[in-house]
Amino acid sequence: MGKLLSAKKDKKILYIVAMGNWTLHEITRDIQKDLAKEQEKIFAFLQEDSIQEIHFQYDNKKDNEWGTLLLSVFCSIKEESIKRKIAFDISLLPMKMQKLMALDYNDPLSHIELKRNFFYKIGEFSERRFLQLKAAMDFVGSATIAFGNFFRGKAAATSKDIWQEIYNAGAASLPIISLVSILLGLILAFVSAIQLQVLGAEIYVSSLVSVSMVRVMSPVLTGIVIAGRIGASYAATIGSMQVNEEVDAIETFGMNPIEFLVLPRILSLSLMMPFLTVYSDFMGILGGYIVISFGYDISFYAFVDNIQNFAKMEHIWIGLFHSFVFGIIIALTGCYQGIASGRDAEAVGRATTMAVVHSIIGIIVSTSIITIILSAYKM
Amino acid sequence: MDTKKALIEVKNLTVGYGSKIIQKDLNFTINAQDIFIIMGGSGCGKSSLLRVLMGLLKPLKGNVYFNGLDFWNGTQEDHQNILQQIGVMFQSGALWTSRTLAENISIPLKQFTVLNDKQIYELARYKLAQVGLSGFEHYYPSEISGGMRKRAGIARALALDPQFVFLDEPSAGLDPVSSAKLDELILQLRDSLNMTILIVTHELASIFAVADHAIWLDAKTKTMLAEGSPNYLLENGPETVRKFLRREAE
Repeated sequence: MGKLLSAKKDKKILYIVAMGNWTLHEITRDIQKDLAKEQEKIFAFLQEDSIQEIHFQYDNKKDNEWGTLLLSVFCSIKEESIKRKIAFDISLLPMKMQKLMALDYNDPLSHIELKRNFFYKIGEFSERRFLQLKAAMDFVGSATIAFGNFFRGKAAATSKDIWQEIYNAGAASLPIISLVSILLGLILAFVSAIQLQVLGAEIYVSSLVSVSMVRVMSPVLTGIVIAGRIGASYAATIGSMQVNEEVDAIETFGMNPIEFLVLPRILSLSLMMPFLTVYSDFMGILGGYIVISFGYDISFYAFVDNIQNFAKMEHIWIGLFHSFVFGIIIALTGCYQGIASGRDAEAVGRATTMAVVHSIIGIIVSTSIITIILSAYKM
Repeated sequence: MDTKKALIEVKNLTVGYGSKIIQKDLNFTINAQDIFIIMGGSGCGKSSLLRVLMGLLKPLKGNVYFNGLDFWNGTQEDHQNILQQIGVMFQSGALWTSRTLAENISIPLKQFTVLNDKQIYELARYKLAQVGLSGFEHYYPSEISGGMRKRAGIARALALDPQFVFLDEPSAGLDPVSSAKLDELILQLRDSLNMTILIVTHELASIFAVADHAIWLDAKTKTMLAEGSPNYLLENGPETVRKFLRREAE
């Protein structure tokens, strides 16, 4: 196998001759380079005004050694010759090849690239953000109306859906919450014990761990874990339903997809988050006790007694309020990303990522806001 | 006398999942440049058989030979070489949604050939023009209709000029005119590029328009009940097959 294409100019006629084996798998790097060079040469010839006719030829006895690569090369030359109003002759090519070259090439209907200046881009960006904000507000509004319908007993959500979501968000999340909370309690206790030991105040490890876990650490930690586990699954599930037109199917029955898909998820997650947080509180404190009991001479009763002295009911309520808010944020974000997802695989992946990222941002921002408000009331 | 060379040979093949047998004792041969149809009622195992032939499902028993090479029990190298000779169009098109149509065709070309970007793009343009999608190179799958997606799926299946083309329900969901155009395209591919084409379909019009040979898979007996040309099966096939080909209720 050697050269695949050659071009020869004879006065006003350009003779293009193909030869050899054009099978895709057989073409080596050298042959490909030579072919590219010949193609460039041919297109350079076509730029010249002197060429008035092109003759295509195929110099091979074996019919089966040409593939679609040869046809694509010939067709691109033919297309250029049509553009330049140069006559071409394919009558010397095998009949099968002639048939396959009888294709209409249209110019790519490319998405028209407008000349976009700086101000255009700013405007486009602002418009897109505004429309996204509007869609998000619409979604929150629809979810609120759906809740109204639910409490009036008119929502389409079934108790089966709600129980299923309660199980997914609640019981199914316990193993990961246990692991993460115990480890966080261990870390908190270990780090604080090292410092407090200097002052001979190791006993206060229990109050430090319990107050910090109950008031803010447990809700935030549980929120982040649930954002990754449940928020992402909401976005992926509803996004996949968008791809399969399942959401459209709900709408065509006159049902509200928000009531059907979003309501059970918000309801179950906002209910489950406080329970998961209480569970996480216990696990975190248990982690703290493991460090204290193995590393320091403090009894279980002293540990519990110290917790009772410092951890007030107020802290527990604040933690539960945090977790309730986080539950709503995670469910709203996950479901919104799913509903607003595009209809292809990549869009679902993007929606899932956005659900987790936005949920975590929401958790941090809302924690800050709640903390500032509580500080103002000296709580 | 039939002088065509046997390209695909299926011998004593049993298809299934775990202990569940879908089809058993399948024996048939697909000749070079034939258009071969797998027919059968819903749930009889047509698609499972196709998955075995395209390398996605290991058979429970038996062998498949491509050009005499054992597909499932041969070497890994043979298996890979055979896969590169197979072009598949899935029922939904299965185009990569984050890539344009031209990119969908270019990806295997970039992977398995030494062509440069310009040559690959020209080849992708040609393939799209071949299936009537000239001009849509920069469109994404989500921006074109279902019928166009199917045709783009065929263009991608043809990317590497495969020897064998497998089409899963190519005309399902298409209007009669588009379906007839697709049949013409299939015939043209076979005649001009010497491809051997295997189709899984229910569409009677397409079966009679393109098929050289067909087999019928039966869901009850879980095996192949008949084989022959569609016209032969219409006249001489078992009752179930004749009813299917005449579109009669049981």
